[in-house]
Amino acid sequence: MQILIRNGVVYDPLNNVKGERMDIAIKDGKIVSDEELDLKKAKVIDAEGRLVMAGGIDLHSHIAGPKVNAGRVMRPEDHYKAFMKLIPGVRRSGTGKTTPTANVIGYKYARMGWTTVFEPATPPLETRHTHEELDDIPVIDKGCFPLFDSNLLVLDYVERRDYEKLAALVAWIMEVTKGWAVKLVDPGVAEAWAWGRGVGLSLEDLIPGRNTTPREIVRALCRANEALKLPHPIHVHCNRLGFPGNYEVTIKTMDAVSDLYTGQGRPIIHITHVQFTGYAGTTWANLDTGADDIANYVNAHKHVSLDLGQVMFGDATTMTADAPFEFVLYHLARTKWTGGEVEGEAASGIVPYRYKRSNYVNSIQWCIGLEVALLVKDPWRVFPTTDHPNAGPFTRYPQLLAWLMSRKAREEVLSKMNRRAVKKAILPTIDREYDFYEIAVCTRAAQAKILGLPNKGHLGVGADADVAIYDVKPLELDPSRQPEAVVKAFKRAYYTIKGGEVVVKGGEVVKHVYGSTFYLKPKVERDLLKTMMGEVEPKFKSWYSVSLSNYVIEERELRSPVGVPVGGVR
Amino acid sequence: MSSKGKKEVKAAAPPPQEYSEVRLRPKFAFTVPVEAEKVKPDLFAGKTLDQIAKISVYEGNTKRALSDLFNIEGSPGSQAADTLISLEGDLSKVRRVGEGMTAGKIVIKGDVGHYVGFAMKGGVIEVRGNAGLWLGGKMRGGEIMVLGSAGDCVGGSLRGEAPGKGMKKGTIVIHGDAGAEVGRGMGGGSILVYGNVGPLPGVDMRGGAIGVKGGCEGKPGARMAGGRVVIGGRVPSVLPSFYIDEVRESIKVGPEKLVGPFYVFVGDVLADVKCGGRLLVSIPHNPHLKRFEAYLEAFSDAWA
Repeated sequence: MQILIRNGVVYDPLNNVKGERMDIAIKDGKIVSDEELDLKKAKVIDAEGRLVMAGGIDLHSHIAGPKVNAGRVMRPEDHYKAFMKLIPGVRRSGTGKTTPTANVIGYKYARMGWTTVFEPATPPLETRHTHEELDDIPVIDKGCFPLFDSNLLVLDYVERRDYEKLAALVAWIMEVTKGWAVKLVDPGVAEAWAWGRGVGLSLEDLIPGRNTTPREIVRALCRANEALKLPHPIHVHCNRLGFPGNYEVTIKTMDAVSDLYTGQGRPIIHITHVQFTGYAGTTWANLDTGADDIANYVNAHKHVSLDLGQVMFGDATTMTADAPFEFVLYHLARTKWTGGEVEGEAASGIVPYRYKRSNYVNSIQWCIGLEVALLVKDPWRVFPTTDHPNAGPFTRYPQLLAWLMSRKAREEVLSKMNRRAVKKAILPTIDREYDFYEIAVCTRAAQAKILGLPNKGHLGVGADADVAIYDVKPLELDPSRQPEAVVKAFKRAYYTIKGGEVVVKGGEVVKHVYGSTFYLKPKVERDLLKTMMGEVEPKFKSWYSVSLSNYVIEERELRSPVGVPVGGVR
Repeated sequence: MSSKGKKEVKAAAPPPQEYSEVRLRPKFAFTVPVEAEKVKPDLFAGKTLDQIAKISVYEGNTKRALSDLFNIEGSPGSQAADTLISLEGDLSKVRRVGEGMTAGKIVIKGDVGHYVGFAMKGGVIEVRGNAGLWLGGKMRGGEIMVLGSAGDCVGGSLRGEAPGKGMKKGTIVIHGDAGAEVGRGMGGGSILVYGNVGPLPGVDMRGGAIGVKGGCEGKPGARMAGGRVVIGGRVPSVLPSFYIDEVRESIKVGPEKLVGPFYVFVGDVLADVKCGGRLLVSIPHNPHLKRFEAYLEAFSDAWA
């Protein structure tokens, strides 16, 4: 299929295109130069000066896996509120607002013009389930980040400081679970939680029953990650998440690996949903923002990138592998709680939550996310996310982008918010507003770059033909003055093209297609792998309830896997 | 009161002496559920019969006009408050009759399906037969009377919803029996059952009153933290998370005064340590609960 997008105003930061009127040619699922197109066969879309960007990318959104499913089961009341009807031959049905079903996730991302999404936490043992669910999500390309921080096999190597074999183990787990990046959730906490401890575990604390600290785990996995030259840096959910005063732990975590940065082409640590770990103050009553200190650190150090985890007022379902925190949250929120445990690898918890504007804590949380986004100067290292569904569903991204683009939109919320929180926050004093170029950077180009996806996030020749056209004319519209227009445009894309096919037209899904699943095939020396497996196999036999061969997820089990070979040990 | 006008309380208009009636009768025996949430005085009032005939309802997964399924006759009133809808025949597959209605009256002559009067805000529903599940679920006002029996979750919240999100206001009177979880997640209003009820009446209750003249199958008031549950008949046992408080002669539930004497228990301590819930259990019908009287005396001595 051939498509020509005419007269779009294109923002393509990776190719240095800043709002120029140009044509985009698509052939066989790739962007091509205009000459290659057969104009007689091509479908021509006249964008008439509308905003054209590459398909959106979300590097942190809990869209699949055992805990997502547990969240769905646990919240039937979430599914009365929203449903999508079946349209025979066009789209399938589904329900759910904060914990939508697989089809709804795919369609709603596509409707916003997002085409690549990564599930950021999956216990290796249950990743088969995660892939089954990812396979069921239509339209978008996807991948998942296995959890490494509390894995018994990993912890053994961390304790012994055997970084070479650790790297080999990480590479092996990555390949057999078909993962994309190393995820750490409150490093070491699931191991402590297995002993009934670990609430408020800090970076320097000894993990119960282990001769190591979260700091050592972060450093060791960062070493392994860099030795293997994996495309994405270690993806860290910091210790003491959700405790007042935790911004210091966040800064210490970032600083713990600063000496490992030797000028790699990208940051070496990604701090995720930084809003949840950016609290100053000592109790919930005097909670304050730590956004300025975090932003100062990030501005001064090149080895860190962040995503926000921006709080959206309204319903949310918190779900994380940080089980002790969910235990604490349940006793704060008093709604309902699910706790999970994966043998020897990870734990999880789920608690429904509602963020309220009138609430002091929630209002401060709302401010922190935006403050970080606006105080960090480099849009290539801070990404707007809502940590779907923890701080709000991904369907609220348009609103988040409008807040970034318009001070007026932020002030509107501030005027209705908890007064005490407004007095404490830095946000009212910040003038900065993102422009369309910066939005294209932080939602597309930068995320593609940090995920290591060379064919995503841009519209240069050879890129995957994932394109979003929004019904807004950037050369005529001032987003700062008309934030509603931005919200409206991003809510429903004018066109979404995925892999060279039109999937959304006029804000409605018109085609049900399936994307690919990306996974890594890290190269490891054969001898090293053999020695490592020689050590791991007997442990595996005595610790796991499945056999090693059943642990391995075969490529044929995935709908359309794309294995990417990377790096190697030294 | 407030600028938004949300809290303004309207004086309830007195029910009209004369209703103008619309009669619905099924054209055939339904084999799949009929979603009749649009059958309510609010949507019938001020319309001609032709317009009413065109109201859409789902029969299974198929959209149909009301006249495809029902014979319609009569004439609606100009306003919801003076409109009476009467349904006659086997309606056990018909669901959601009177959902969210605010005024007027619905009379159902025969058995009816689930969700009758779901989230209704006002008006009257009379069922001269049996009703299905979630009768008056999440009700916000008005009255429901059932001459037969009702299914589970009378006045209840939906599955997964927080405690207190069930019925909030209004009255439900059931002359027969009711199923399990009567008043599930109830936050206010009153439910009166003349017959027996299934297990777990008043589960997750936060306010309001449930009166049962007959017995209960067990676990009355589980996880309640407010409101009261009165069981006039036999209960197999009282949950161990309840404490006996006093003995009381009679209590009023909705329109009716129930005469005991009753043991009064407070609880459920597992839901709230303040034990805001009150569980009243008939003394004459429950001789096996006599052992609690020892605690009554022991405490009254200690505190005297």
